[in-house]
Amino acid sequence: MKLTTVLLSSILFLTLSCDDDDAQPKGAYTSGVFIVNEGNFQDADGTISHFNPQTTEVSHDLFGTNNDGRALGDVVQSLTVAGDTAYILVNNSNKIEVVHASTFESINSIEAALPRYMITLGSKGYVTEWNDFNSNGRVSVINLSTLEVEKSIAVGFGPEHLIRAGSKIFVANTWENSISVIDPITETVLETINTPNSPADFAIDKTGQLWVLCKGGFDQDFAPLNDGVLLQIDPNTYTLENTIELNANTLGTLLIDRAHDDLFYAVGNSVFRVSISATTAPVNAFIAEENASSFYGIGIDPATDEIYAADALSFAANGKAYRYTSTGQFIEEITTGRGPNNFTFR
Amino acid sequence: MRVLLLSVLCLITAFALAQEADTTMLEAVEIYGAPVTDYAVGSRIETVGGGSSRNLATLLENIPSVYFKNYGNGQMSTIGMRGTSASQTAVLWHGLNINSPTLGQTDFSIIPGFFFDQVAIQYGSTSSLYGSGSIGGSIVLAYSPPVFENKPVVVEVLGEVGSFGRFVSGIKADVSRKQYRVRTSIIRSALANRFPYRSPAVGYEKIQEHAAVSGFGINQLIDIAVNEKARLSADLMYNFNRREVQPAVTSSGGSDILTDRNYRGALTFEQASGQTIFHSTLAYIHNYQRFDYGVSEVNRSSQLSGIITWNCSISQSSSVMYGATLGWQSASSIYHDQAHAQHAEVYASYRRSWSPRVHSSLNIRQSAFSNDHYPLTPSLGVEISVFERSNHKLLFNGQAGRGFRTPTLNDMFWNPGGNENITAEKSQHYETGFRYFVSRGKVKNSLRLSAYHTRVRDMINWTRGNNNFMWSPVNLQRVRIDGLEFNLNSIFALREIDIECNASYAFTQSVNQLPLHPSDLSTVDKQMPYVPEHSGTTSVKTVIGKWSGSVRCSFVGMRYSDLSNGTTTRMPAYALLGLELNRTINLKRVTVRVASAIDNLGDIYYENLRNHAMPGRSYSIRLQLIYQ
Repeated sequence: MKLTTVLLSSILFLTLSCDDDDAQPKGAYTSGVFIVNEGNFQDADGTISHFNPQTTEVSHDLFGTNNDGRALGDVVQSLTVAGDTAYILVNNSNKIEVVHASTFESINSIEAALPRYMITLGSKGYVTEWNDFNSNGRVSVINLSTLEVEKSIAVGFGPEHLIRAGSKIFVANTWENSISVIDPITETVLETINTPNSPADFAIDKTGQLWVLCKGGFDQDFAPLNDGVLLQIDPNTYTLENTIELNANTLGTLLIDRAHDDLFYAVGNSVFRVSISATTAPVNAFIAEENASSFYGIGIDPATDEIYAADALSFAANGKAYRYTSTGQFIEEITTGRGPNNFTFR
Repeated sequence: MRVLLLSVLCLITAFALAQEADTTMLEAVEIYGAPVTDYAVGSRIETVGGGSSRNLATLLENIPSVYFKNYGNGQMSTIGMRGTSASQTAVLWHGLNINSPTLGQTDFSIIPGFFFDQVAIQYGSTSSLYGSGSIGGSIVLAYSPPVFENKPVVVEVLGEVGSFGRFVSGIKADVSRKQYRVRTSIIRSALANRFPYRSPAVGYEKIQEHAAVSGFGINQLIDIAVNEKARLSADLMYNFNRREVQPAVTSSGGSDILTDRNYRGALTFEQASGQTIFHSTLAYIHNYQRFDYGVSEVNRSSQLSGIITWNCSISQSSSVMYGATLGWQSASSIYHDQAHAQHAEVYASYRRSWSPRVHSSLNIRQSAFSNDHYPLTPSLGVEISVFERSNHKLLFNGQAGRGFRTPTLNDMFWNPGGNENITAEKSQHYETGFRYFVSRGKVKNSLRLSAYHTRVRDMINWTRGNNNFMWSPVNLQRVRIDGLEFNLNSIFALREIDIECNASYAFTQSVNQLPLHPSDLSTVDKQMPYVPEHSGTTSVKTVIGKWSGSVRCSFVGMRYSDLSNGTTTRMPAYALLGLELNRTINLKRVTVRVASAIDNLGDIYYENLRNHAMPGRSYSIRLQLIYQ
């Protein structure tokens, strides 16, 4: 009798152990789409939502749900995943929340000065920070093991997206029309390249060339100049290889497809696709979403080339995201949190 | 002289009558500066005594149908009356709406209650009486009228200390002579505001940082008896407020600074002749606001307004008032270029008592605004005494009216995005209710029940059009508001002890009727943000000789912080418990009042605005010396 009990218990224990080790997923968010909802300015109600493209299931407020109702903060700007760690940049709360990407359980937070975007290279993270609205921004280098800021590199005014191209990091200084080129080894600025109005985002094409999206400027009366432009730059020599005038002011996000052949950018409630070999902007939109007021964020699934576009509506309520096939066919509408601005794919 | 006094008295009598049910614990204060309330028959009007060290937000915060969005403790505080937004309540000072011409709202936290003798709250859309902004209701700031008699000089000195580094000091001197009255009030306040809080959004206890507030205000009233029938009055006011903008709970530290300076001046001439009182006011307001958030932004706005009215008693049972207003507004900042607007209004009111038990008033106002908008706002009110016996009576009241709010200078001229073509928000309001009074021996009870229905349309929303960058206002939203208000008041006047019990409750359904974007039906039929469906207050106050004490519990129901009404935007209900103990000491020529209070006795964590901490239990003690 005793022996039977011991045996049964052992089997049960082993079964449970096996379950723990193999069958159980590491967390609910091991794959899928993270939707960054920046929230309403000064309400500190920014959240991250998760969308599962297979099941079309949406989960909201991942950070609050998995951390006893805690809030991320004010203006959740972007999310970067590296390994099983996610870094959530909370612009107006001056911090980076670090969580387990699969479970969203909080690990720690890092102080930052109006952080915007982050990339990781090996054991280091690079974060653009505005600092304040008066002075030049910086790129802070974060040790991803200790989560400590090792160094801050002064860049231009209003640094936005950054990208690694070849052995360098390119930073778009959107408010001063320049790009800072950083050597990640010496952690110094090698070069500052002047650009047209409002450089915002980058992409690397299949030939290794760097594409820069300049989203366009405004005149003295804040009227758009419709001078958005795509630049193709050699990341080694900084020579300008190609220029595509977009004849519009665009959203500050540039996407590239899986094949690194086609670029995507958004104007109003439309997404445009342009080939890297093109010399002029497309006349017709790739996606024109009549139901949307305007797109506040776009993303492309690197596994499927499916396009996601977010409409923040007026920040008065939850926003919406629209999902399209790689050929631009509408698939579905997704309810997001308040003020959706970015997509991160895992 | 007597005629003038009488006329002033007449002017305020109806007002005093209207407030009778709601002000039992407040001393009856005669007011002027609110000459139209005579014609607000059928309206619900409540009054609160000013005079304390509190600002207007804390003075009014426990009224169930009034919700204040506090951006933190002692921080910006904007009103929402009966389910409407901050710009849909008119705040009147000498008949002029002091809501900022650029923002359309008033920060109640920077107006000292100390300057005013009485604050009247009139509910419902009564633009016929007050013009633009009176959709959810109106707040009327008022002083006691001058008594042109040789009276001893009255000097009041006020000092208060409280938790979290609160210091308030004030002095008020009142000199009344046969020919004039001069009153000066000065108040200073400071709040270090380093209170501990434990917000669920943070998960551990934090000390509030960067939320210190300091303020200074001076008010000068000069009344001159020109002759027995005429009075000339000047009211000059200056307010300064500097505050560190309290960051959201999730932020560490903060650096934004908001500085306000408000300059207000009003010159009034009033003359009685025969059965007519002529009243004229010229008022000027200049607002300076500086916001430092790394860069400095300065916004200035000005208002100039001229108001004339004639109030004539036609017979013992009827009176008529008519008048006109000319107004001018301007704003300057880096976002405004040539931003100004003008308006002209004419209005007439008629009040008639059909019998001693049936009273009615009819008001009508025609306004003309420089943005080609010409609202006509009538209102009709009736009050009927259904029955009156020696120890009980039942009063019925009914009111219907229209309200409107013109676009602000920001709505019209903000660069970029301002839209000169937008028109006013409009409302229709219907209200009915009854008041029942019953007294038995030493017990007096009153019961009030109000029900109202308000429809607001063409509400101004800033939305983004079909592009990425431009926010622009449009006349879009429609809101339907249905509400019930209940108040029960009992006074027990026993031999050496007076007890007053009060219970108030408000039910407010303020529901969005139109999608903010054609494709987004999810916002339809949703409760408006920051409107609690349920709110209430109960209090018990006891007076024993020179001691008095009170216990108050105020409840604010669940609210949503956005129009999705989603679970993540729910803000939990809360109830705050407050205690007060006061003692009056009469010395030879000095009356000393000591008031001590404990607020938020339960030490609960709550928020009025999402993720902005409010303090836990706090203590204060106030000393008031009145010399005469």
